[in-house]
Amino acid sequence: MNMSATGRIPVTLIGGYLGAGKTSLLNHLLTHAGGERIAVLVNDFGALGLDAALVARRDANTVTLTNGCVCCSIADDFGTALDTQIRADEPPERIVVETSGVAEPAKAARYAGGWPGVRLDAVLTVVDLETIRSRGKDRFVGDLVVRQIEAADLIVANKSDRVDASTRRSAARWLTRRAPRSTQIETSHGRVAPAVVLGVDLHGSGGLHEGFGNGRIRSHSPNVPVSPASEPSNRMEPESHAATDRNAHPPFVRVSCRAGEPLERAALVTALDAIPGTVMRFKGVVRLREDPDRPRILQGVGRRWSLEPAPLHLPAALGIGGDSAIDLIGVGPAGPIERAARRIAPVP
Amino acid sequence: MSKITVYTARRIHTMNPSMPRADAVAVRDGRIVEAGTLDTLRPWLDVHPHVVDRTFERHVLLPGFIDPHLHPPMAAVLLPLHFITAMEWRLPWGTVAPTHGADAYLARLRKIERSLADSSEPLITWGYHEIWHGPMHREALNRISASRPVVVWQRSFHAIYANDAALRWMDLDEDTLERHPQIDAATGHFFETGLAVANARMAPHLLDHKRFRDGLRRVRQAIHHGGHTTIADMAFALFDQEREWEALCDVLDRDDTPFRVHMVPRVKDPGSAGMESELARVRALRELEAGRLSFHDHVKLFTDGGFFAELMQVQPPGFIDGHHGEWLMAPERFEALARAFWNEGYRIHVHCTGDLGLELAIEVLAKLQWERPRFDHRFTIEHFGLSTPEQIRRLARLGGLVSANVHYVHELADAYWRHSIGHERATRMARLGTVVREGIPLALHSDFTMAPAQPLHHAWVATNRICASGEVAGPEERLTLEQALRAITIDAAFVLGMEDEIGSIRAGKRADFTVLEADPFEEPVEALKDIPVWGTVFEGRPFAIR
Repeated sequence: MNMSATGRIPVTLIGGYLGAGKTSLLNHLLTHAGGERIAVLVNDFGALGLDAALVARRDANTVTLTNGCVCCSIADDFGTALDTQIRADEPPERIVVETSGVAEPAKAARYAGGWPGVRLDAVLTVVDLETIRSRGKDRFVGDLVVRQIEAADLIVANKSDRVDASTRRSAARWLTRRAPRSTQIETSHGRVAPAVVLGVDLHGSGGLHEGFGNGRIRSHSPNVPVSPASEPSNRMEPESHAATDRNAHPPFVRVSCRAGEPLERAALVTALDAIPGTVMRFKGVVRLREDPDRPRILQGVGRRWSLEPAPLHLPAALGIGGDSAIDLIGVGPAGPIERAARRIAPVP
Repeated sequence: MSKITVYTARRIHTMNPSMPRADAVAVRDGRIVEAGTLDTLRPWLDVHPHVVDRTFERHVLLPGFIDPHLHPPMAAVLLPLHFITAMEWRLPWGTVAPTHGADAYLARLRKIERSLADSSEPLITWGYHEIWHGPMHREALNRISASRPVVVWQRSFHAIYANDAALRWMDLDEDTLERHPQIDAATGHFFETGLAVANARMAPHLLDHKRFRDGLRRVRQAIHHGGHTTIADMAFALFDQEREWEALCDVLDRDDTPFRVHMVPRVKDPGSAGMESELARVRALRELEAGRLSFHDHVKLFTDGGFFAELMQVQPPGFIDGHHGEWLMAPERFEALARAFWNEGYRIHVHCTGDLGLELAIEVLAKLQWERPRFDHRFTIEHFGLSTPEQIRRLARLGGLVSANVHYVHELADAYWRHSIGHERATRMARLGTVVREGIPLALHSDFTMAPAQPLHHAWVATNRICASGEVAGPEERLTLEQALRAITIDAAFVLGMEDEIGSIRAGKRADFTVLEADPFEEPVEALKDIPVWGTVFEGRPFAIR
């Protein structure tokens, strides 16, 4: 369930300067899409170097993959490329756009955010840890590279295998200085879990109602009581799992929590604004005390989040009844993420 | 061989410094036999059949004017629109008088609305500018018409206002309008990325097959009207290569088209397809060759964004409001493309508007000269909005040329002083006096429709630098009349690599003349733009402006 109540297809923007690794990130995403029908719009699909075994059909502007994804060339016109997807017989569930290396991401976000039929999901900026500091000082593109970082919901600090630990640390500090509110994830070869790039699929496997255990996901014991997902309770009950997708992307942590009682809006806002920088994405259905009969969809990426009305049938479809249920995806130790989950709806 | 035709004239300015004046010119088979007087021409006339044509006895002849940078397909989209502008636009089908003030603007719009026969035909007007025409509003346009789509297109093309009927015509619901960050539903204002939404909905109408060809016919008329005999389409193709070429051939490649078109391919980044594929694509375009339209060894590249849109890349201290310009391609890719075409011997034209865009172009030219020196390479800076004296000096030493849109000074110097980059840089935009002092060959262009397709207008701006307010912007950067006329004739030919064929009146060249009703060297230079153009002679055939 990726469309919001408005039926608009979410668009995720992948920005970053030339050579940062946008293409390898997209290649990884397409190869690990896991059943979602994603349309990826790129400037140059020759550069993607897709595995021939994955390609079902190919024409001048589109490659159709065996896993249901398509990859299309933007050519000169972003709007036309979006319209082609929106008006397709079977529109994709998600659109991911590779912006040009010299695009102003804030401008691309306004473009995609306002285009009829779609909505902006998130802006990811890929940076090359090896070159970012010299790029940031370049007299032709330094300002642009910094603005690309500032506009990101998530910064993918790529090519970590190419730098030593001290370069990595100083690059991370530099990124934090330039974009103090940013959320960063470090990787190499553009390997980022689709759950991080795209967020949580509420209906998909591993979603709110199914618990965990997809692939080689490793459960780890949270230090809070766990109750069965189907049983409403008055407390938020975080569960977390560190996941390693076969030697592909770096492990991420998924924490799920539920509350049987409606949440206080002010407390929820405070908790969400204090979410740690290791949380990449969160998504769920919440009920607010002020209006408990109207479920809302909560979506967050990095430190930006939104709350909008959910279709009334959604909680039933997800099997969560009158509960609030939220999934958080993050990296690093589970503790801070679990504590964040507990702050979202504290134990009474 | 055909008969010789001798055109006599009150005065011929040959723009050939070896023999600057004449009063007769002999022409045969589209070429000049020689210029001089009836006496000096005598040895030819004694031997060969000839006629003496005294049509231009009271006129002044110059070499046919050359505009080395405009975009017929873009102009074809614009010219069918209704013009309501702050500046005067002289078009073949009538002069658009300047409109100033909100009331005058709406009155003019209402008059146009009433003049349209078909009640459903969208009314799209171009030229609106808030500085001149006051705030615009959806409601004001609803009062112009409740049923007819009315769209007001801003002068720089970066915003529109639409009435309710236009929103219905574009099939845009209130919800879409409300949620877009760059559409103001209340005022019907679409800007930047919001404009893209409207453009996508208007495109089928604007690019309609018949409308586009009608537009191109107007372009043909406007180019003749300006007194041109050669133009360059400085970025083929803008929309769709095949459709554009077909339309250009249909409308322009005709015996009654009184000018030739030098087609300059726009280089596209081939990405993973490899540089060789782009070189091959551009090489193959030369095979297209049609009578009036031809490809040569010139290509077009881009550095920074548009000057009217304030998207040029500017060196410190930047823009007053702190906004940033944009790159049209990554600097590394620009360099890689320039290198590939430089090493193949192409003549490279680079769109540069801000002084940081220019800096990139000069830096790349310096690298290419270091790696693989070329003499006579004709690397040309196109537009040339902002520059520093030091950049111009380096450009001269590297052998670069300049093709400038000097109209910027007239239309933007005041506005950019007050609202964009401050006085010093705004009044010295298009720093052409320095260019000429450094010995750089200079052409003037219109980038039509960024500026009127009227070479005498551009020569007038270059010699006077009078802005819209009447002030003189940067008197030190004015050209002499001689320098300005060279920039629309022989030096424009040089920029296009056609100086052996056109650009001056001398034995052996194409018989292309622009016929004027007065002598620019006798009139006050402030009146240069007002000298009437009788018409042209193209390859020996007179084409009067009717």
